[in-house]
Amino acid sequence: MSERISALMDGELEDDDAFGLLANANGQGRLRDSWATYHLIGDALRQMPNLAHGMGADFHARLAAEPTILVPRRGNTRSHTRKWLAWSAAAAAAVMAVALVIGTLIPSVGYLGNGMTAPGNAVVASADNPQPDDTLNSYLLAHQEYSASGVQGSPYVMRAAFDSGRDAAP
Amino acid sequence: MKRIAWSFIFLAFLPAAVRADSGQRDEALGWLEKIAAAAHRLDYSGTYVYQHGNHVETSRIIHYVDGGREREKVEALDGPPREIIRNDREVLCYSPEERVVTVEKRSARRIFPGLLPKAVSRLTAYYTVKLGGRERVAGYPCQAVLLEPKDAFRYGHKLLVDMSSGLLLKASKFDDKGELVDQFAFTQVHIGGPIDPSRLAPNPSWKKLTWRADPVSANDEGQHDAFGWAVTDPPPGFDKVAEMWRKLPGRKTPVAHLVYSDGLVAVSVFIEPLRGKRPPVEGFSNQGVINVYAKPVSGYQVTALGEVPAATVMQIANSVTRESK
Repeated sequence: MSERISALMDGELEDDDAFGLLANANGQGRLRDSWATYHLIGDALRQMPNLAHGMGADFHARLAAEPTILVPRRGNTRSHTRKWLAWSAAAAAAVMAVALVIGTLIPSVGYLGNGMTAPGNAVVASADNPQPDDTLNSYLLAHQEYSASGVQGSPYVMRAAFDSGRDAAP
Repeated sequence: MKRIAWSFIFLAFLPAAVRADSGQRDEALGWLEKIAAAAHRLDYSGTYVYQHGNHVETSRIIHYVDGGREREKVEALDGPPREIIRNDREVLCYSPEERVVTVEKRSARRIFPGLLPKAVSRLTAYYTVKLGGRERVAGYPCQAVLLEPKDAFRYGHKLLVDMSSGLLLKASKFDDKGELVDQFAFTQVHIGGPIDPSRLAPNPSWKKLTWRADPVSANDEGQHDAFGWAVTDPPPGFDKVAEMWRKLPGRKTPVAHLVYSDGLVAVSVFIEPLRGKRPPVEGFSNQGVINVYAKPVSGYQVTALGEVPAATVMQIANSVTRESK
């Protein structure tokens, strides 16, 4: 079961499998715990130097950065609604677990753009993207090779978000 | 204070527009040529600040010309430790916290003060080049050179150049309302040698770390022939300067990456197949100084981004088409 949770984190499960596993996980505290634990392990591995102090701030920054990938198209969402509900429960549980551990408040993130926006805060947004969405991060990093930005690049780019959490699976 | 700064910027741009004659323009162009050459030919070391919005970062730079070969080290002094080391066109970016080193074999990265292209005269097609006033930067008397955009697809630039060496000491971008977009400025700089080459090595304590190559830098160059994507109607002056396939994390298929530039700034376009689990994305986002516009195009997700006005990324993304072979 642990392996399947790990595969789910890596986005390697088919939709049906993932749905079944999440339905299971919702009923079982142990599975939910492993989901949260694996994420913590992943964070720890990627953010080793920051874990002892300042992880809260780091978590804030990552959370603020994650849902930046604009807005899903409205027309597409209906068929996914039930799936999103399942994802929401799991993701919210994971987010809450992490938030409790590090004792931080979740900041709300406003969307920019053109009024197609539905979700109002970071938690809903990450539930919309079952995997942490580092698409924009990876684009911004690749773009730096051709641009004149600072050494740190955009402050929103967090290279750590690059690892898919693969090496976090035990 | 802010208001004073804005009115100063306004004043700096405005009277120059009225007075500019061809003699002044030639002089301004002469300065641009000096700026373009000096950053690559001189030895210098110093500290500069890069700011955009509320973000400020300080970096230390050492630039050394070793028998025609350019060597450079830029070190982040605040935030996560990070170093960029350049040997001619090869650029290595070290991020010790993540143990990642990015290797750019033939890098097109522009590192302040080396912001200008070699062919500065090309810029006059899209920018009006003017002479500004004189100011002091980092203790050096400087000449201001202004690049005013001729259309809404680019920002205005103000460059302050050291009058004796031609080295660029401060570079600012302004949007159409005259508001600062971003800015590089030396706070301290020593122009000229001697420079001890050992100072260009990466931080010695990092030798103990186990590094891994950044997956982003692994370009698959073998597939160029089958590229198949084009931007048919980019804003004037934005020419394609690069195209490649990139292996980005979490993707089974490589992502197409095209780069368009007007000589001064670059826009990246990323194209990848829409993946089942993720809904297509459409709309604007703003990441600090970078504008992003995304839209789905016939089963693919297209994302354009760059340090340009929103109209530019939008027009570029909107004219992405599959080339028919």
